[in-house]
Amino acid sequence: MSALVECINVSKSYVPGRFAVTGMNLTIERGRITGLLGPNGSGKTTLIKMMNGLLTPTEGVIVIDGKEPGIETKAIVSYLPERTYLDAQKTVGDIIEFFTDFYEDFQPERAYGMLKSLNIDENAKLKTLSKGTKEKIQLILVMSRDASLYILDEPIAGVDPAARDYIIRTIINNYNPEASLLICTHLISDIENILDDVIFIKDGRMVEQTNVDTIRQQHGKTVDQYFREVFAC
Amino acid sequence: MLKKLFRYEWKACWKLMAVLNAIVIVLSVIGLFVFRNDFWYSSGRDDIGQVVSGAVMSAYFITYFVSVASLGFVVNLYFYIRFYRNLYTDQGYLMHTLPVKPWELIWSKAFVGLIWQFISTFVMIFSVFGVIFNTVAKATDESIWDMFSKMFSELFENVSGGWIFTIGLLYLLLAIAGACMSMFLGYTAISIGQTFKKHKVVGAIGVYFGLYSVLQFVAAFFTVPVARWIDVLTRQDNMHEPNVAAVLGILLVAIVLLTTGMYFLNEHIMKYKLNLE
Repeated sequence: MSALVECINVSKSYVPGRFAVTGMNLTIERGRITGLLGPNGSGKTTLIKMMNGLLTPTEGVIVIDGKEPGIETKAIVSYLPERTYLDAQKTVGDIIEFFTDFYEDFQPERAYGMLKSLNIDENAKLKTLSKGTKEKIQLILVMSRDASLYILDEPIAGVDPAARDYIIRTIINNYNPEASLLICTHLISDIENILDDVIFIKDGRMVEQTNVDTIRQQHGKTVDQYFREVFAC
Repeated sequence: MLKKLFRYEWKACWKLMAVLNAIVIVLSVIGLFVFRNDFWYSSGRDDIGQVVSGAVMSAYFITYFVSVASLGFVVNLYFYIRFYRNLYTDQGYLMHTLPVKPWELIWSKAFVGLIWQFISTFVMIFSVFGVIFNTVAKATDESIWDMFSKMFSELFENVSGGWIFTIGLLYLLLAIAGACMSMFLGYTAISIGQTFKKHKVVGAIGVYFGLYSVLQFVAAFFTVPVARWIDVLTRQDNMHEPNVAAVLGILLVAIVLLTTGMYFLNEHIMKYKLNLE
């Protein structure tokens, strides 16, 4: 079966002559959990934005399930950006209704179940909730879809360790097992136990794409240790 | 998806818009009913009575005119800000990853904005005519209907029967097209501004004033020489109405073309130049 995501010689330049992403060639297989790892400014978010149709590649092409980013891919990709993107004037219930309306694969009962387990009132306005709670709500919304590809940009940054464990459990317990998961994060040690594959990016270029078992067996290191070695300053 | 986007856009906006229009309506009703009383116009009162009534009427009319004059501006500004916040700030990460086309995002907002522009315009027009006619009629002892008939006759005194409908229709279409152009002028300025690396909002404001100046020049470029050309060609006593209709028609075409151009520019920027921070 073909890969779910293919990046073929993808480059992105914001300013002529300077590239945020250069000649990126990678694949994300179906049913795999992949970590997109790299230091700040390495091009991870730029690459993720291009996959979600929020940026247009300067060169090359991205293909998701055989199609370039557009309406059809947005219907099968569930994206969690690293910022709060919900309208603070809306209630939690309003947002769930919104997602139910626009995404055919959204499961509102799953979302309500997770909200209930966190004691979040669906009638609460988002502006009355803490940053951490808003982030959990966003994650709940994203993971309540039966998407083919989940893209999570820094899902556990900026939250306490207990919340990180909750988020990781939520991801594992709720994602479609036949789907692929792409997680972009700096907190590798927290996430590496759930990863199948890793992609290392530096200065807009792919350094290595391998699977976690290979790193552990061939290099005798955890992914976190290997990352520190590859990206040592 | 357009219907769904329209529904959510309407839901997000209608309360504030209803309140703003209700304020003008309430002030108009006050003017219509409170100032019908002879008390406000009687010259037989003592000095204190005249001072008080004068002060109250002045305060009312200042408040009234400020609210009416600012309603259209505030409605426009609100929808510009909403367009920016919903599509080009953090909320854009949600809106631009929905499985919808860019033109659906643009038109769902434009339709809601235009509907409220028209509602507000009607409220303003009927309010002003109602309050002004009522006050002047009271002061001059004339009936409101006589005043309205006189105004209508003067407006169309040089227009023969058959052309009243055509010219009236052209004015109406111009009003609609002008409202669309005004909406897309703001959207275009915001979309161009977001392509700047820094100072996106300031850039958008600068682009707005620049585009506004350019549009004024283009509109004059189309209508002034063409109107003179038509006037030279058709300088006959009975060709006044066709001149007016031709000029209005050319202006309408110019506005439609410019608005269409601005719409496609917006769509292009959203499809290929989107760069949310």
